Amino acid sequence: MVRYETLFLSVPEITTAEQEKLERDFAALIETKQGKVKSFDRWGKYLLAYPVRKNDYGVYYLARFDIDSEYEGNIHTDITTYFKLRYSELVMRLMTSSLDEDAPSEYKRPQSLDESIEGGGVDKFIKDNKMDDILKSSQQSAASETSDVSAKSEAVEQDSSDQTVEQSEESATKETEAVVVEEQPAVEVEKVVEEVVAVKEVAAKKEKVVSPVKPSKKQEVSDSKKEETPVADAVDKTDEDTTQDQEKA
Amino acid sequence: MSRKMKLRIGARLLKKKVRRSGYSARKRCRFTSDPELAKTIDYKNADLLKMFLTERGKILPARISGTKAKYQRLLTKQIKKSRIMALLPFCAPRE
Repeated sequence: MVRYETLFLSVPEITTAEQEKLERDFAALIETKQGKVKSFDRWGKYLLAYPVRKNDYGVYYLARFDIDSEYEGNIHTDITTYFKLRYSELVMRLMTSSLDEDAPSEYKRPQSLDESIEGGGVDKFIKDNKMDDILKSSQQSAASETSDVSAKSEAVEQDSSDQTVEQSEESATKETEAVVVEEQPAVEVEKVVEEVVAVKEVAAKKEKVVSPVKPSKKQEVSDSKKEETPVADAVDKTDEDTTQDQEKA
Repeated sequence: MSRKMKLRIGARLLKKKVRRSGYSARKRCRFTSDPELAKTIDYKNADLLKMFLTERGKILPARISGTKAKYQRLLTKQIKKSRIMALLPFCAPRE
């Protein structure tokens, strides 16, 4: 007996009835080779690396089977011709490859789209990729931003920034206490960000209010300087004249 | 790098020296040290194979990844199989 596996890539719109028919026909084909299907796994829906037959998504099936060593030579062509003729609309790609006799039944495969949605969505993704630290660091940076901005602005606004810092600290403690309550820190981060934006807007307004006054003052000062300087020159000139006159005399 | 270098030195040799001193960690084969990981080299295991692709989807040369020749041969075969099954891109993965 020789062991093989076949990976099917089918169209994403495949129904359960079609799937069962595919499985049955495949088993029948293997039985003609005096073999037996060991397993027929549905991997699930996947985003393909490139569009196949104008389909962005596809569904994978992996079948493992043993066949008699008599039919070993023709099995590749037989399977491909069978499915290309009868399942040309349903199966987009298929690949048959031989396995070692001592090959393990377990194998690794990329995560499908169905699994990623079922398994808790974003929270699970953050947990799996160990991104808790990123959330914390973003909170800290937000708190530091609020403190910086509030230092420039008035004392009333400083109180608000203190509140935000306290909130961020509370959220940090919450995270350490229970990982389940991960949505609350995210909400608090949003609060902090909103407050930061509000404080920044206030600061910007103040600058706008202050800015038109300053240049006018400067202009006045410069004008006055301009006015003063010629007079001073004139005075100097007169002084020089007087001194020259005195010398002449 | 406060080490003094000779002034009369070829540009290529200088580059080589700088490059050698710049890299702290030496590259090494991931599979020779871990035979269990080597067994998982398979066209179905696209997550592992992705590590040996460039940004544009090309296969990383062994001289850069540090993979031994034996495993590089395995990797290239499996990556090419995986590409046919649309698990890995032929070029420039979609954004």
